[in-house]
Amino acid sequence: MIAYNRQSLDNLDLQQQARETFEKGLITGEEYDRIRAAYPYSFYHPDFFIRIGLFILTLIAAAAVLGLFLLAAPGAAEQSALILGAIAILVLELFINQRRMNGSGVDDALLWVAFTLLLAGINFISTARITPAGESGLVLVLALIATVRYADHGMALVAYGAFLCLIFFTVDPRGPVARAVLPFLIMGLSMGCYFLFTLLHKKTTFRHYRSCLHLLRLATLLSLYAAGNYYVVRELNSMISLSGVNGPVAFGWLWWSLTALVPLFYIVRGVQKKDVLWLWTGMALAAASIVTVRYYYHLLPTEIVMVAGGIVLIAGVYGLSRYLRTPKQGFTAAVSGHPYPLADWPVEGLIVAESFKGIAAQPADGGTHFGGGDTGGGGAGGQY
Amino acid sequence: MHRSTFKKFHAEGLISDATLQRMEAFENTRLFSLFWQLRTLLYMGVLLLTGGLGILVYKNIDTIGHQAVLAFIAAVTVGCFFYCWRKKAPFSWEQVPAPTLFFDYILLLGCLSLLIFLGYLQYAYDVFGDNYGLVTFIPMGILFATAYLFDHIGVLSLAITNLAAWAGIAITPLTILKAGNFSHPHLIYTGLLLGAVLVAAGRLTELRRLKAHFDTTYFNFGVHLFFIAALAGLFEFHKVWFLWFLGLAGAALFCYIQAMRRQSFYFVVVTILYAYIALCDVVIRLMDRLNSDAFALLFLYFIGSAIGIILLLMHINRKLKAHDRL
Repeated sequence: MIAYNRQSLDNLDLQQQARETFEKGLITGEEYDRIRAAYPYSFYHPDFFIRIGLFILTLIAAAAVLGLFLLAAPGAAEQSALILGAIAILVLELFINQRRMNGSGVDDALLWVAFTLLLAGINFISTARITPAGESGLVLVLALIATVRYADHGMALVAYGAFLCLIFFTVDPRGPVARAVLPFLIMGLSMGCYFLFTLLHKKTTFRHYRSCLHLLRLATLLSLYAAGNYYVVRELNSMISLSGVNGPVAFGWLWWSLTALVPLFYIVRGVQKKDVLWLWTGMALAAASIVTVRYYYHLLPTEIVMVAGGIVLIAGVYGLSRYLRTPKQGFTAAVSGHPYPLADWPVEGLIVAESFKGIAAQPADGGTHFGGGDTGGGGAGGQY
Repeated sequence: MHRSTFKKFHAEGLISDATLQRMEAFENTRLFSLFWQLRTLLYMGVLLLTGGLGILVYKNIDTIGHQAVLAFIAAVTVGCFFYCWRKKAPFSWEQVPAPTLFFDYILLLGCLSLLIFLGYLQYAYDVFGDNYGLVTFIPMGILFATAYLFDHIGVLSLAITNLAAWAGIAITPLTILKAGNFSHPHLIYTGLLLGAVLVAAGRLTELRRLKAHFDTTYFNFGVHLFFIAALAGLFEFHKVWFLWFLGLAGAALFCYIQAMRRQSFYFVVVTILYAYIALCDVVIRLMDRLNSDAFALLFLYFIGSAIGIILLLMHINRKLKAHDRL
């Protein structure tokens, strides 16, 4: 099913595990070299930045080919989409087979180009109007095939999104009762999918899709939250309601409760199960919930909330790190063995400068408009 | 590494008994670290606090209460610097890691509060008078000193941004893209000069080991600033575009050699992409002169050149990876 050489994929995984262990200083250099020699893989998998460069350039080349095609046969725009899409897939398979590409930027770009062209092509040649549900189904099928064949993360997310859209567009036209049930349906399906993906994540048969499944687990946590979030429910409701009214929704208390409680539940479960996914997702969604509340209710001026929130967070972190100075219940505030993913990249400085530009760059022409409105911003900075 | 994996490696004689024991001990005593969660929350806290303070000051500038706010900000600034001064490790030209989790963020908070405070002083009391250069120069000096004294890359970035403000431009990427007002020659020349100065500073830092880990930050700002200014010059100055192209090509060659020497994939790719943009502009210009309808030729150029650069990048990837345990 998967296009890549399976033995190579397994060996790549083993080497990656060995590399992490080597970086933590648990195995010696010679042992690491021995492991790499025992489990070779033959993928073309360049450095991340090279991969980005290759991705951009492949897109440029593909666009130029499309342009040439359209120049040569101006009347056949509709058919050329399908033909070129098919050619892109053929080239992709060729590269994977012959040049052993795996995550090389070129294959990523070709997959996305092919996906877009095939989708557009099918839309063009179909004579009947495709309903939104039908479109979602089409995207789902294409993305699913792409995920299964190439284990592409983006395609996995697109497939899940298309699945949710399919449910939405199928249920929505069936009347107000169905529409009322919809959020619960999505939440239920999200939960079901979470369990499904978690189950598959552990199985050896699906080991090649492990990181895709992990990403999908995150997606289900997000969709569960989104289905119950007050803003989402209210805005979607007003979008699809026939009267076009934008007022409070029924069972508002329920959605507010969910908006508040779901992130808390995630954080608590993350702490209980010591699962980073739940913890980070809970933290991020807690912030989203706060923003949601502030969107509808302005209890205090924004800046007061910001100052108070800032102080609360800083004090909270201080308190927690003092509490965890000696490890408690298996938790510690000290850094673990994992290197921060961005530590080696030069982006850190850019993030800080970007975040604080309002404060940092006072205009040299006098600063008569002190700060204005754009003094917002914060940066991480610092070393790791 | 999963338990099953290192058992398997051990069974195959790839790792020694001692290593196996070490790994099992590591797995057994491993704690769940909240380090990054705490750091992120701290980051958000500093973000909210400084943002809120900034807006607070701005909104209350004309009220009686602004002196209280000013005093508060001054207190925050002094408090943060005092804390950091007490906690800091002795100075060294080598990398000095932060003594505590809080250190980096308190320092950042202190520097930002200082900037708000100084800006406010200038606005409300016109402390610096008409000497607008001084308004940015003084904070810049303090920020540079702080960055070196306390070894903080984030503060260094703020200092460089202030340097650019002092030189008259907004340095950060988004602003550059959004503003797009590069037609003013003064800005372009300033950008070129500043970019070159920053790259030189980075080189000096690297060569003389004056906090050598700062070099990437200098190079990063310098390279992007220089090339964006150079591209702006290439697009703007129609009559002398060829000179600009030569200059840009020369600079790109220099950066390429440096990047290869440092074995930095990031800078190699960035340099090649900027050079490619310049090349495409020149080719389009030439084709425009020769034949205005040759779209087919243009498309062929793009296909050919894109493939060429792809092959170049692949070659570079092979070359740089061969040096390294990657």
